[in-house]
Amino acid sequence: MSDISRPLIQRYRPRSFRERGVVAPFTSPLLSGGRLRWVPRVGAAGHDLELVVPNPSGGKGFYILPWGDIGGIWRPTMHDVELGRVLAVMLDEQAVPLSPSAMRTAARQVAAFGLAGRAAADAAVRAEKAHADGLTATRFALLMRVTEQIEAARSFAGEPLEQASPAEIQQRGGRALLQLAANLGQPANLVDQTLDRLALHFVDIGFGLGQEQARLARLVADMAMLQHGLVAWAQTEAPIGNNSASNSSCRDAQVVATAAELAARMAQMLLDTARGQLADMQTFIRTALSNPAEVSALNDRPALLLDGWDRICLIWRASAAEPQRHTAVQEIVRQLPLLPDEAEEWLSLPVGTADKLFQHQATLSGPPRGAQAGLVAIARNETLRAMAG
Amino acid sequence: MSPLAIRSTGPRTDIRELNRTLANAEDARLVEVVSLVDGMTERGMADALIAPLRSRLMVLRPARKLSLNRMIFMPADPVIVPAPQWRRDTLTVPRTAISCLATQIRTALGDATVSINAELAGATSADHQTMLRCGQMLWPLAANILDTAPMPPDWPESTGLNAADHAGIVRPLSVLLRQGGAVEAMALQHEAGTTVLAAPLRDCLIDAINQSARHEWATRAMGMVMAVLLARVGQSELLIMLVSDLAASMDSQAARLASDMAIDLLLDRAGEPFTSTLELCDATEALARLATLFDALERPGPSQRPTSKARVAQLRRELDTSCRVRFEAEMTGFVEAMTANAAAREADDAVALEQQALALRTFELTSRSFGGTAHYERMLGLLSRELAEVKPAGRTAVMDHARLLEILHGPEAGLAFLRLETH
Repeated sequence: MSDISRPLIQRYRPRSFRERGVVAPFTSPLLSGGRLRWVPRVGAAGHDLELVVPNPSGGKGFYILPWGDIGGIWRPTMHDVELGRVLAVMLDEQAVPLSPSAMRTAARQVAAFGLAGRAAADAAVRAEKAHADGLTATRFALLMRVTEQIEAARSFAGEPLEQASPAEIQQRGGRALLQLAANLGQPANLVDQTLDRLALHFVDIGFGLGQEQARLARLVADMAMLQHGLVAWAQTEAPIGNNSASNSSCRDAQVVATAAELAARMAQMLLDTARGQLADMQTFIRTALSNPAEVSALNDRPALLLDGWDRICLIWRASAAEPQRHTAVQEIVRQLPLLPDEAEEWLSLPVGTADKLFQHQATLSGPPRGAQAGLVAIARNETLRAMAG
Repeated sequence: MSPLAIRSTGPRTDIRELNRTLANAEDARLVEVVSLVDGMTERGMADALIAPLRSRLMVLRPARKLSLNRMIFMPADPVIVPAPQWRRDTLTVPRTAISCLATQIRTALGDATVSINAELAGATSADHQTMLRCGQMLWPLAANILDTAPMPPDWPESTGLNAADHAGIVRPLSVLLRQGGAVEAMALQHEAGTTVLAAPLRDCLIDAINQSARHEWATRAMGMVMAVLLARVGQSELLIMLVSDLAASMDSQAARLASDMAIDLLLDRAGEPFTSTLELCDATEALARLATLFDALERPGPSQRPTSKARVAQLRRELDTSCRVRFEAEMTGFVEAMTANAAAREADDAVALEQQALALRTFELTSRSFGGTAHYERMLGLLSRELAEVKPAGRTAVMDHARLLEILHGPEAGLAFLRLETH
């Protein structure tokens, strides 16, 4: 089906995070702020990618169209074409749902290939290495947490774990894992694999002493900076610009600041809930063994709720010079993550909270028009890719 | 010679000698000298050093120190011309008049300069907030002074102009300065890529019409405001339409005439050989502004005039020719850069080459507004053949090459090349 013939959906607010899709770091200006969904193929086995993208004209509404129909006027960059292909292959082969983490893995792979330029490639390689190091450290920290709790239960009287050498920690950790496996009545290798799986979540959530350095914790901190930056800008900019364009930008900035604050608070609650599970590792791992999907879904929540905000923080940070801030605010408003009703259930919030959050009349404007402006916008989006890593 | 050797009291022959040296100086050196001169309290003849270099400074756009002198007439920048280029029947103001009036305003400001100078201390033209804040204090005060102050005693000697010229220049400048804050705020938004909406433009035009209504210099005042808006804010079609509507609704024939004069000024400048003198990206920007203006002038509507339509057609032909010449020269330079070290390119060289390709492509796409589509297609075909001659080796070089293809010929070409390379 031609993409032009697809109807524009005027009123769109997803009910679930799955329906909302995952933000893709597209470099094509028309696809900026677009999300991808992994949907069952109609009348056949398998899944396909589907694109949900804000109206490129800058007006209200969204287009929803199969990724396979992207072409023609959308004219995605090589980076975006390859991102869709790599992501689809990865989801197909691993039979996993589309998550922000899967998107990040695919995006790093494509960027490392050099399709968004050398700077983005270098940043992706560095980010992948940092992620791998983070995983190892998180896995080690989880083992320490298990060891501390098992040893405390057995009234172990040895040297405090944090003062022990890495070799001794490994030794005591091995014994603790065996004890935990015995307590749970499960093979030790299965418990070991469960810790590996949990590390995949907690590398981003963070816990313990270094938890503020974890990706999602840093993102929440960035959102606080964004909120303060927007409020300060709206207060100081309004009397200086002193025209209707700057006034509407100021209103939009307040809308984004409010949304950022609420999303950050919600995410903090979800992060605290996830970290709370680690207070009783035996119960947590028992649940993870008996119901891995439920545990995985619970620990995916902070990342799902915050999906899209990292790009928004980058757009704001990249617009350091004053006059660019108007453009940045307009671009951010267009990409503001819609909050599905599902978030209310997660946080036991009153029904309609999410609706209230998005009852605003933002000044919407589309991406830059014309082939020339498009080329410049692609270069800017590639800079964002390099900043994101 | 060290820039510190420049003295504001040196004889004119020394200045001429320095000018010759600076005309051949490297960009970094030039910026250094300009920064030094900007920092001088009494610039005197040192100011003459900068005058012949203004076209290069426009290209280099160094962040220049904000001073009271530079600030006073900043909103009028697009209508200020070197004295020899000034003509009475245009909307322009000779730079000699600006210097003379700036001195008068500075003196009349008295103690007010203390707080403004304090705000400006250490700020550069890149500090937009400071510039706007100070401007909003300064420009209304300067406008008041221009409205009431007598002709400076040294006016004839400093400017070579007469009393009638003084009257014809200062009152329109006053109207323009009163709109300075609004104009600069909109210009900054435009430079940042934000579309300036109709409401603030309309407010600015109405204010200018009201301030100058029933005065003999009304056309000139509104024309200056219009010319500055057209040059700094873009939105030429919207501006022309707004002025046309306001001229009718406010019964202001002067507004209609002012619009025509402002358009004439921009069309005069379109005939200057900027496509060959400006850096490629700056030439592209100037071409894009002209393309929008030409489109607006050619569309049927109340502001359309047969004379401007014919002139636009002529300018399109001239610009088409000069754009083709520039594109071919730039393309040759690009091919030379591309074929050098094609096998193993350093990261910095690869990035520089991509930027060169991007600048070339945006220039070409913008130039098509003036014609030559078939010519550019043919040139891009030649470029494609040149690109095909390059055989990159190794994954990084292949990817760099694919990205050049993507920039110059679109993502389909880049992907097709990658498929061939990977199979």
